[in-house]
Amino acid sequence: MIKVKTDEELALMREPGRVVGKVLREIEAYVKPGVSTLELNSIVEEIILSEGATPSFKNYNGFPAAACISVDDVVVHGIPSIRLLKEGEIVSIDVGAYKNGFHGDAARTFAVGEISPAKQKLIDVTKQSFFEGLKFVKIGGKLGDVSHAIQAYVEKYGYGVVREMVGHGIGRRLHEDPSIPNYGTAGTGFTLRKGYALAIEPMITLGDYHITIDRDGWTCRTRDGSPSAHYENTVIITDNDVEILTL
Amino acid sequence: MGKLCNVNLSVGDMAVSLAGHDKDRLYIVVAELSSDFVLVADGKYRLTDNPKQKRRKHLKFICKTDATDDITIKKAVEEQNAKRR
Repeated sequence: MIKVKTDEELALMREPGRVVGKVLREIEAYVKPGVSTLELNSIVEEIILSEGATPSFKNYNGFPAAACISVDDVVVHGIPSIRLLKEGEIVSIDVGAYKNGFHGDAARTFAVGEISPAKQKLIDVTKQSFFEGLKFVKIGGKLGDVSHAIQAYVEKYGYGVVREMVGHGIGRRLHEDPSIPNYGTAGTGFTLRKGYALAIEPMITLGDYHITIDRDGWTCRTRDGSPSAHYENTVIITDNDVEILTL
Repeated sequence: MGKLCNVNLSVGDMAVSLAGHDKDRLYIVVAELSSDFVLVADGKYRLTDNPKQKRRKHLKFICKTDATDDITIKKAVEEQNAKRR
């Protein structure tokens, strides 16, 4: 069941969203060749805690870190480790923060040093696909319109839209209803209402869209080994408009 | 954080057993029996002419495959096991 938030609850959600946005703006400076994903995770956690929030992902269903840090062919849920980033890779950093009784959730994909034009294009298209979907987030709109817009935009470039991983509602719990696929049929699905809080997160691959899950039960990677990009924001639907909380 | 949507296991899907004596063993779905049960095989201990019945909720989706017979099922499972070591 989709939880409709009151105006007061939506107002409270702005703060964890602000924290997540701040983390993702600040972490970019630390993304460079030779840094470990564990180190990036430590910095993420430090910033979250310094803002009086707690990391949403840590111990969530057993996830061991504050951030999901996913390199190249890892789509999402990469577990931070001593693995060092290398020039030419792309890395997705997905962060959640809990404050005021609510969660915020967002992700960005960054270049590690100089990257290929193909990878840069993948990052740019993935980011833009979020905004293409956002155009359809409005009172009375259909969730399928959002999903379809993302898929249609991405597939114009021949990229793959991951199916098994989806966006989600968000609020007092990190993952709430509804599930928000990045593919679908326009005019279908839930009708969007005032008070909805949604984490919309295109996960896009340079090759085929099929994924596999590693033995650790978390790391999700492309089956064909192609690189993947991820872009996510938490948005709320208010009286007047749609507001992105994590930019 | 992306959410793994409730993948409704279908024929060809590879899944890991979450419960039972075969916990952590990989299988491929060879038939759907009901909303609660599927039949699985691994090409080694369980062949397609004697598949194992498993509860859907005791299986976790790993990936989709094109494996449909004992040879391709065995190969797919061995390849995935090699990656998971």
